[in-house]
Order: sequence, then C-alpha cells, then structure tokens
Amino acid sequence: MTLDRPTLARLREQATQARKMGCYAQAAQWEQQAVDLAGTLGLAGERMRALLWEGYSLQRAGQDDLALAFLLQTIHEPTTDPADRFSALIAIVHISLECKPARFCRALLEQGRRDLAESRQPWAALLDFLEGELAFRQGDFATAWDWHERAWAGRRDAHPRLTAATHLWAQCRTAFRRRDPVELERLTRLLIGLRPNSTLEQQLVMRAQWLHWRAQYTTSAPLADSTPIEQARVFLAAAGKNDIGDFGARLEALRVLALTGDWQFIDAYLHRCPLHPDAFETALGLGDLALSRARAALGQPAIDDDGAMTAEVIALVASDHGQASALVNEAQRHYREAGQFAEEQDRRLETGWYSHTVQQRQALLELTTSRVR
Amino acid sequence: MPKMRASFQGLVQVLAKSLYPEPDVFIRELLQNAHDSIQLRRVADGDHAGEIRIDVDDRARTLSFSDNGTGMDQRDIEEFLSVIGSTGTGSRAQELASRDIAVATIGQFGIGLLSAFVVAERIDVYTRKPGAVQTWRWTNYGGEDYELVALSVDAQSPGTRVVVTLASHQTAFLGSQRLRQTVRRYADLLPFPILLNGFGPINAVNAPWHEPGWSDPVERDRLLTAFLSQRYADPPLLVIPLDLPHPRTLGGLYVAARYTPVGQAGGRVDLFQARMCVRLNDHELLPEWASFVRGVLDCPDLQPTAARDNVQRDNAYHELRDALGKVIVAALLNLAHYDRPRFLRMCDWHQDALKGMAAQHQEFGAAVLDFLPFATSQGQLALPDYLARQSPGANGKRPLYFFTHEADANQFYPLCQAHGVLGVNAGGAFDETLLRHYVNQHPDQVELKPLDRLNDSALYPPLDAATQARYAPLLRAVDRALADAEAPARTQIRQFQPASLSAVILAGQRLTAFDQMEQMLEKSLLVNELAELAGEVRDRLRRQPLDLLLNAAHPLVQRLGELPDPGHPGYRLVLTGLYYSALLNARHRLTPAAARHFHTDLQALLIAHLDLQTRHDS
Repeated sequence: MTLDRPTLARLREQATQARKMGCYAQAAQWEQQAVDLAGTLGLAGERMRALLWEGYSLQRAGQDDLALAFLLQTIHEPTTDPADRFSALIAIVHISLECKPARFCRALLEQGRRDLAESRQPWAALLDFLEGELAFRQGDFATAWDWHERAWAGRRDAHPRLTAATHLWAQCRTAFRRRDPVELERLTRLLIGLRPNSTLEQQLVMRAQWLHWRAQYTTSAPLADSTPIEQARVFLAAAGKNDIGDFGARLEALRVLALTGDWQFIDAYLHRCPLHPDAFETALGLGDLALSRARAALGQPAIDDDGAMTAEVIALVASDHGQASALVNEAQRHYREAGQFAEEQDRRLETGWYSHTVQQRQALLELTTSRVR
Repeated sequence: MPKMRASFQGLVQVLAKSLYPEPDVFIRELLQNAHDSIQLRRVADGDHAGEIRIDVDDRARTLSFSDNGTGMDQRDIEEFLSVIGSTGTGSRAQELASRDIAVATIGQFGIGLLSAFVVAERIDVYTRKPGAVQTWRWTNYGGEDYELVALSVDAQSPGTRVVVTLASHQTAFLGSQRLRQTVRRYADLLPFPILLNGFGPINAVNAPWHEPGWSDPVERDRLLTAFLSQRYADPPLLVIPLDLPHPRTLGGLYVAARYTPVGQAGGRVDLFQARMCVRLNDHELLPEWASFVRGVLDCPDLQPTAARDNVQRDNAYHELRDALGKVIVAALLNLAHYDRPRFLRMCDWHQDALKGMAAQHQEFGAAVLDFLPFATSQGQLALPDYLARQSPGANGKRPLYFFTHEADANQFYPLCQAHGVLGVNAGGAFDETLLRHYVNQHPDQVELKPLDRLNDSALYPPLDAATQARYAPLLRAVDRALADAEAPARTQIRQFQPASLSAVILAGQRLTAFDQMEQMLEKSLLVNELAELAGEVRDRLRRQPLDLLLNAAHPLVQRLGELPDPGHPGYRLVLTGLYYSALLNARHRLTPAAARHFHTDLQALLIAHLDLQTRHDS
C-alpha cells in the first residue's frame, strides 16, 4: 500500500462503496486501514473522520460495542472536526435508543442541543429525527410524527446529515402506526422517487412498499398489485445466502407473505434461517406468525394483527383442526416471551405500549382459542 | 494647567502588589544598585576591587547593604535618590555610552530603592563619593518627606550603605539561611564577592563562561559540569555549553541522569540578564519538546520587564528560543553519533519525554527518529538497524512487524524468531506513532505489519481440509470447555512455528478499543452519560471473546487431536489449560472470574498429576 493522500482517498471511497453494497464489515476494515494511514500521514482530522465511519460501519455490522468504542473516541479526541463529533453523537444516540433508558437518550439529546446552541450550527434536524425515533419507540406515534415532520422540513443536504431515504422511511413507518394510509401512500411515492442506489436505502423503499401494501390489505378483496409479494419472496430468498442482518425487514417480508397465505415459502425460509425470539420484535413476530397459521388452519381469513388499518369483521368459521391447537400454543408461548421483553422495554422507554401491544395480541389469541376449544 | 498628583504610600502599595509580588525582591534591587555603583567607580579606577556586604542586626531589625562603589553627593541624592523613576545609574551609563565608554550596569528604572518599602518602615542611606569631604545621610520613613543630613567624613567609607529597618512583621528576612538563598537565587553571578556578616563570599561570583578556561572545549565541559552539578544537585548526563553570538547568550543546558517526569512545565532554565537573575525556572524559553532539559542562561540582549522578574517577548527572545532548539537537537545527534552508549542511557532515562517530543514535533522527530531505540526480539535497535536485518518482501519493501501491547512479547517474539523476522515491541508510550511516522518518511522502503491484528496465513498457515476435519472434534470440545468455564474465546486450528507455542491469543481491535475506553475514563473529559456508556462498553469489551489459535505443530495439541473423544469430561482441565496458558503467556489481563476459574482448574490439574505420580511411585 502506498502511503499517500490518494491512497487514503481510495480507501475511504472503497469503504463508501462497501457500505452502499451493504458490506458493512468490509467497510469497517477499509476504514480501519484509512484510520491507520491517516495517522501515519499525520492527518489528525482525516483520521478521526475515518474512525467515525468505522464506528458507523461496525454499528451496521452489528458490532455495537466496538462501534461505540470508536464513536466515543471520535467525540473525545480534540482533533475531531465539530461536524464529525456531532455525527458521532448522533450515531451513539441511535445505538442507545435500542439499549439504554429513555432518560439516558434524552440526556444525550439535550447535550446535543446544548452543543448546537454553543456552536450555532444548523444541525438540529438530526436531533429532531432522533426525538421522533425515541417517541416512536415509546409508542407515542403522534409525537413521533411531529418530530419527524419537523426533522424532514429542517433537513439540509450537507454533512452532518441523515439521508432523505432515512427521513422518509421513518415517516412512512410512523404513518403506518398512526393508521394514516393517505400519508403513507404519499411518503412511499416520495421514497420510491428517490431511486436510491445503496442496498440499505433500496431495502427501505421495499419496506415502505410492504407497509403500504399491508395498509391497503383487507380480507374481503385481494390486492391487485402483487409486486410487493414478489419482492418479499426475492428478499427472503436472498436473505439466507447473504448476511443482510436486518431482522426488521425479514419480519415485514414474512408478514406480507403470511397475509397471502404462502406458508410453504415461509416454512422453507424459517427452516433455512430460523428466527430466535431473543427480542420483543422477533418474539411478537413469531407469535403473530403462529396466530396467523392457526387462523389459516381453522379456515379463518388472514388478518394483519400488527397493523390492520380498517376494522376487520372477523368471520370466524366454526371448525376444528388438530394442527390449530399446537399453533395456538406456539403463539401463546411466543406472546409470553414477548411479554417478558415488553416489561423490560416499557421500563427502559418509560411507556406501556409494549405490554399493551402484547395484551392486545393475547386477546386476539383468546378469541381464536375459544374456537379451537 | 492643574497637575496630576501621586500618593507615595499608594505607589508603594501598587509596587508591592503588582510590580514586586515577591517581597524579597528588595534584596535583589539593593544588590543590583550596589553592583552598579561599583561598576561606575571602576570606570575611573579599573583596578578597584569591588565588594558588597550584607550585615544583619537582629536587635535593631536592620539589614545593611554596603558597597565600595562610586557613592553619591548632595546633587545625586536630590536628583536621583529622591525622585521616583529617576535613575542615576541609567543616566550615568548613558552619559558614559555617549563617550563610547561601556559600563555593565543593570539598573534602568529608578524604582529599586522604593521596593524596600514593601517590607521596611524606615530606610537610611549613608553615602560618600571617593575624595568627598563629607558623608550624607538620607532618611525616609515611607512617605513623601525625607531628611538629608551632612555627617563627618569618617561616618562612611567611600561608597554607599543602605540600612533597611524592617517592619515588625517582616523579621523573617533577618535569617541568614533565607538571605543566602535569596542571594544565590538572584545574585549568584554578580562579579563582586558578597559577604554576609563579614563572611563569604556567599555568591559564586563567576559562572563557567566568565572563567578564562571557557574557550577551551574540554575545560569548558568540565567547568560547566561542575557548576551545573552544584547548582542543581543533579548529576548531568549531558551538558550543552552555550556561547551564541546572536542574541548574545552564554550559559549551559543539561540533561539529568535521572528520570524527569514530563510535566506541564516542560524544560526549565534560570534566566540571567547582565549577571542578575531575572527569572528562575522559566518554562517558556526552551522549545516545548525540550521537556527533559534544564539550564542557566545569561543573555544581555534580552529586555527585562520593569519588575525585573521576567523578560520581554521580543524578537531577541524568539530568536533565542529557536537557537536553543537547534543547539539541543545538534547536541543530541552528536551524542547519538559519537557516544551511543550515553545516548541510549539518556533514552532509557527520558524515553517518554524524548519519544513523546519526537512524536509531537515533526522537526524534532525527523531529526532524531533514526536514532531512537525500540525494543525488538533481538534487543534494543534503532529503526535503520532493525530494517537492515529484515529481508525485503515481494513488493521490495521491508516489513516492520510490531505489536502494541508490551505483554504480547512472550508470544510474538518466539513467533517472529521462528519465521526469521524481528518483531518490535511497540507497547511503550508513543512507539506506535513513531513507527507510523517512520514508515511515512520511507514509504517506498518500509511497510507496517501489526502482529496483533494480523491473522496472517504466512504466520499461521491453515491446515489442509482433511487435517482440519480431523481437528474439528477438538475445536468443538475446546469451545464447550471454555463456555463452561465462562472463558470468552473463539478457537481455530492452525499449524505454525515455533512448535513450542501450543496456542496464540489474538486480541486485535477489541483490546485496543478496551484500552481506549480505559484512557478515556481516566481523563474523565466526557459528559456524564458518555462516560457511563464508555464504562459499560469497556466492561463488555473485557468480556468479549479473544481469538485462540491452536497450534497443530505442538505435541500437546497433536495428542489432543488424536483423541477419539476430546470432549470427554476427563480432558476438560487440559483443554481449558490450553487457553489459560496462552492467556498467561501473552500476559493478558485476567478478569477476576477468569483468574478464579484458572486457579480452580490448576489446583485440580495438580492434584490429578500428583495422583498419577504417587500411583507411579508405588
């Protein structure tokens, strides 16, 4: 390796390309080399920028602790560019939203606001976005919607920033939870219009389309557009081969296929890539899949338990089926697991949304169970 | 037009609080006046032997400063002594200079005597010019009014005697120990003997650069070494004589033969100006990288401030600073070239300072990097010597193998030796940075090879598929045994040299990140939440698994690989023993839990060994 600035630029570019392709571990390795090289060249600012991106890449690669170590170092070093320091703080809040108490995240957000007030930098949109993400995780979707709208309005196309796709996806997801199909459709169209070329953002477009499809789904009339269904199949087929690692996207694809009743595909996928109920989302998702299968076994129509936009009239068919009983038990087990995670999440995020969600599912399950008995 | 008026007492207060923060400064001022007075007398009488006396009278609470200098007449007293800001010395020196007569006086501002009122309640000045027929006594009690009385000629020999009657709470200045220290501090190099109560001299009188032998390099080093050793009670490892033409500077620097902590003060010099000390322990004049250097400088071209406790930051000051930097670098390089053992000893004592400064200051680093020693698997080597022993790779560059955790030497040195390469232990402060700087200086000749991140197939060749499969049960058994022992490791099998290493631990980025978190927490510069997060991350990183590379070339690993069921509980202690021995060999930190498990396992293993031995003996 030649030790000069062009080589450093090439390493950084290779890392950027690797991130676009979703190869975050590889990106982190390029960035590590860039960190070393920038250090050798005595480019303190460049070194810290590469360290920031190494941290970000490691976060996407699922190595949160190493990511945090590098991001904290980025903040700590006096040679870090203020924009990079702020980006590091944003990335740290992002990670913290998944594991730290709400008050901790709020304290970091306040710290960010104080830093901005001192430095008079126009970067508030990133903090607004994170406020939205925190509210979303607390199940306060109205507040989340306000923050995300504000963040989108204040977004600037200069470092530090979040991509347009990230903002629009967050709004799509919030619109879905708010049961607002009109906004969801508008935002999905906007997101599709971006025609992003990175794997991660393309995935966000696909996920928005799945949400939009589910929002339109009713038991009475099948949807004409089958593109999202095909996309879900293609996505899951690829997911086993390439380590994409985003379980949120996998669960959403599985929910689409569950509504279409493609249990053969789902079974094949879960056999190949089992989902483990090691977090609230996966436990709830597995419970929902089992409940949907129980309904199918009972001859009942498929319902989107997670996001039905319209009040469904559940036309229960009085029938019995040996398999249904086992599936109901499986759903019960997963909901109990989800309930345990929910308590923890509620405590961490100072909300009751997670337990409430599980209770709703258990009520639906109870309704189904009464038919199985 | 109305005139501004000054309050004498107010002025004294201003002097006390602002201009003369050190109350003993009046001693310096009075000695300086005495010196100037003698110098002026020597203009007319070049052979006149000057002398200054300090006498203490405890009962009268007085300190007398006497000189045999030029003395004053009534006109001098009324024009200079009694007018604040008017200096007889300065005026006389200027007048002599206009006639091309140089005189080495010090006083400039005409406020020296006033400084005594910071501690005195009364000052009497007895003075007589040589050849005058009467003595004058000037008395002041610290106000605008003074008395001037003519005394008989025998009341005072030619010269001046200043009698300072100390205020009742300032009697500490009467102590001879304190007086000696103050004289040494300010007036050590005054060219006239200073006697205390008739004994002395208590000053050095001359510095080495004032001695005739100064022009002889050998004698100069001897004189300077003796002077600096005595002044600082510190044996010098290196003395650097200074004789700079511009700005005119005489003196000496030295590097002590002992550890000097790199503090914020940096290198320090005692700064003299025309033989009077104007600043002790100045830590700004030496370049900031020269934190391991001390010294004494006499620089007449520097301009003292009015308080005479510092010098002005003018061009001469900055030129001197640059010149000192160059002199130090030249002396270090000279030492490295011609007295390598002493240079290495200096690096040994001042490693952190030298390497730290080389890492931080590009110019200094570029000058000394070729000479700095690094610990390697073949002893201390400078980088050019290290590279001369390394063969170039396919790309024509010589590999520079290094590791950044000092403790890793146990496993990486044998590994390097087995592969015929040298490993640099870059675990010392600034080592890694300097290696990177070096590669930056020689990008076409050298490439870095970080051993602790290098899961390199050249160093750890993989096994063929069949052999790999044969070892699969052993790897599973080791993983299971370590999981039971809550020992975090990921196990792989390789075959590498030396065969004496049964296993190697690669910590990679995790250990670096862990150390970063520790350092961050030590400095505690992060806001509370981030510090909390850093603490959590550190604890989790501590628990993250290390990479354990088992060596299929080692007999123990081979025998374990041949076992039909290496997962049998009877072998568990041996399997965990492989991990712990690799961990200990790499001298990695043992967490309390790991230490406990290791201790328990080792006791069990020892008992098992004892059982076998006693059975064998019987």
